[in-house]
Amino acid sequence: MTAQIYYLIASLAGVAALVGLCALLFGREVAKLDTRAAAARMGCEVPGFRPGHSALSADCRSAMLEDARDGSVWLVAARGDGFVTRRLSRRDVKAVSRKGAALALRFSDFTFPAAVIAFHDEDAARDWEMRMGKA
Amino acid sequence: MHFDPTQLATPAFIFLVIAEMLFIRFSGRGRYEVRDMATSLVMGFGSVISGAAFGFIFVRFAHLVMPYRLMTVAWSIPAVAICFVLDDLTYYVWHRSAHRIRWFWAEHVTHHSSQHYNLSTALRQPWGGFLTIGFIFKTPLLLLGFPLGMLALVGGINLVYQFWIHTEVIGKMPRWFEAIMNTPSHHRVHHATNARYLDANYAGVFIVWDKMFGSFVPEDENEKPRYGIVKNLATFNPFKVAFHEFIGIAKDLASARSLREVVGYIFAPPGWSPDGSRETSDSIKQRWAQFRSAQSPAE
Repeated sequence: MTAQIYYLIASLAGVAALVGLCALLFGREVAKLDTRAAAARMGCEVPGFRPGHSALSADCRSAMLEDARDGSVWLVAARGDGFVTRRLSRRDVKAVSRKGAALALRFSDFTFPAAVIAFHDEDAARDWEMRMGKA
Repeated sequence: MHFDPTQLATPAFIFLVIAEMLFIRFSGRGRYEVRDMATSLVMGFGSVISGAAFGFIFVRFAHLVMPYRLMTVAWSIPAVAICFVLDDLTYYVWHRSAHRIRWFWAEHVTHHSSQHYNLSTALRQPWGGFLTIGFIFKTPLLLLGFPLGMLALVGGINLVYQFWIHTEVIGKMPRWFEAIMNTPSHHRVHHATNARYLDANYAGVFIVWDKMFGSFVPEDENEKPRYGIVKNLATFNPFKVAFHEFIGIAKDLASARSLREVVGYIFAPPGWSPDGSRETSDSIKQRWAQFRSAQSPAE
């Protein structure tokens, strides 16, 4: 039993040391987007995706895009050095609220409960709020 | 006799992860991300705890099945070799089921939840094996009379083999090796979410099972794999990573309106929904094939 406890403590120390080394070697990289990169990402994830309107958040960490084929609205959001994408349909979005240039979204997704997308200006936020209402 | 290959290999795992990190840092061939790696390692640590705490369930199950065995296989080198090959076949069957049946996927999705593909990804192991009882796939080996210790040994060796194939640092192995064995190239395809690569290369050690059962897809040098799952997780929280699909199943069951829906939500392929409004790997591949044929009608 004692040996097992030592084994677990050593394992935890090993995990901490490896994570520390990783931080030292790679830093804490944060992914950034531009609208072309966001459209390219959607093209990879959704076969046949045709980019329509798009808008980038002020911090370049998320983008909203429209699929010109059917008017569906998609979110591409940075997580770590990668991205996650979500379709913003009525079924997936529980609530939307706007405060100035920021759109606050609540999702019915246990791993992605909420997102705030702060656009450059209020018109963009209002525009995407409207598009989501139609999608 | 107690011989745990995974425990013995742990120092080598640590050494190789460090070597891979250094290589990637200076060559740029691959990616590491701190939070992703931390999640993978914590998942690996948690799976050791979970295995130690709930491993007795498999032992109890084995003792229930073993009285009905056809024969008793004695320890010998040929017996271990045969057991290793047959165990790898049962691994293939379990692994294919783990991608095609949501109940088993709920556990296995943990291993696929990283958008990175490096040696730390190999350690991103599930915590919920005791819930899905995937060990029932070992029943044929118990009925053939292989001793429990032999199954633990070959299972451990199988797991250790699969560690080194989780890397982008190694391109392709020699042709004869690629033809028989599971390799980094074959397994990159397995971890990829590109439509052409979905649901392929389920092998543990021998890629020949995929070739025999029609699930083999070679890595295309013109299409770099994108790793993760179809709907990538927006969290690095290990508890959410471990149990999100179980919670998804529970939520769906709460909204089920018939026995058909209950059965579908548990046993149909991941992404199944009664009205077909969600994406499964089959529907994604179908749309991709349609899109491709529309792009190149002459083909």
